Amino acid sequence: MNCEEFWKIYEDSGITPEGEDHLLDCPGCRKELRAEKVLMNIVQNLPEHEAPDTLWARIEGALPNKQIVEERERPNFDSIIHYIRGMFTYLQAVPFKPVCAACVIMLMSILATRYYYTRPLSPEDRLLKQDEIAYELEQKEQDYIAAIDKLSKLVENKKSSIDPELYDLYREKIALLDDYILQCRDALEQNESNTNVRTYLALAYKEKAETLQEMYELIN
Amino acid sequence: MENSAISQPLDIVERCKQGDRHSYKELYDLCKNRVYSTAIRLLGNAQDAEDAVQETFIKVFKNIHMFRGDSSVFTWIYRISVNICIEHMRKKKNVPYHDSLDDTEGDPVVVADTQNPVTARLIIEKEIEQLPEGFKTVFVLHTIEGFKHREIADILDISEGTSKSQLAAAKSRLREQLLPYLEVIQNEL
Ligand SMILES: [Zn+2]
Repeated sequence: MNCEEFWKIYEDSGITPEGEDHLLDCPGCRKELRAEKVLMNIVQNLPEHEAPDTLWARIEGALPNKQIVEERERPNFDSIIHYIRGMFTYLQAVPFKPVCAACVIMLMSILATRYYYTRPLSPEDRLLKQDEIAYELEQKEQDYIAAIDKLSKLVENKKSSIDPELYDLYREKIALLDDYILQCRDALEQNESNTNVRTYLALAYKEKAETLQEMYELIN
Repeated sequence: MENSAISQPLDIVERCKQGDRHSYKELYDLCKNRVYSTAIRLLGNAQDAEDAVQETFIKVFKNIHMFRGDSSVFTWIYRISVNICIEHMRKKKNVPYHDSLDDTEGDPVVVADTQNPVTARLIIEKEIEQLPEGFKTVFVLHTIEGFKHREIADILDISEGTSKSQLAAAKSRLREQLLPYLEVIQNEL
């Protein structure tokens, strides 16, 4: 056994009988073994450092304040869509019931209301903002309506290639969305500048366009 | 110091996932000293260690929802903290390094100082600090913090074999550094 082998075996299994023999013949390893014992003695008795008391305050201060963030940041359009899509995905897995439909509509109303009312605006700002949002939403509506028309035709032509059970589920979802779109249109006739309703409407259109897109992708 | 012996406070983790600030503090209190000690040993000074601990816990709380319970929450936290320390060590390499112990490098004054009972410890701490990054990390985690090679492999994303060979190399180097001071240090112990 040479010195290198001695230390390799020492790390795995300590001092073996062969190791003892090597030590008897090797003053270098004997001295190094003393160093090893000193090293381990000191290292294993090193005190644990105590984290300073002020450190938690620093950490806590650097954590994002959840409530402030929620008040300041207006949830964006896409995240609302994401919630609603998640809800629909869930609903697809269970038979549709009127109560589910009511839940979705309630959810949409809550989210859309939150979307608009999370940040207080001055009356002037609010009017300006409403105009901006209304314009933006109307553009979106037009885009979605065009997409829906196109996709509806494409899907209608090849609907027989979708699994009938799945097709029925999609039909029910679209029927629900159509119903919802009608309600929004009625509400808009009462008050054309109701930005909340416009928001729900755009969400419903977007959801419908994406549902049709999904159906179209299933066919192809 | 046996990491595996600590039971996993899953309920605290669950409450943290729900954003409960009191549970954040509870989880912090459970591992703050160990995370801080490791940071001090790896980074060599309190200022850098505090920064690393702060960064660690902010990352822990930000990503707590991603903790799936595949390993102990402590191993998960130490993995984050050690990786942050390694990043700091790499950044530090690019700036000229000075600290109080550095002044004594290669200076026989160190031997004279061994009359002071804390000097043996200081020599070792200084030598550990000067180990190359990989050796130092494995040595600190295994020998001082009591992690097993399997856990170190997991934390550092290396093989158990690499962890073992880096430890052997680190110890060999430390022993070698200790030899000139051996007589004085042994009298001290
Ligand atoms: Zn030998």
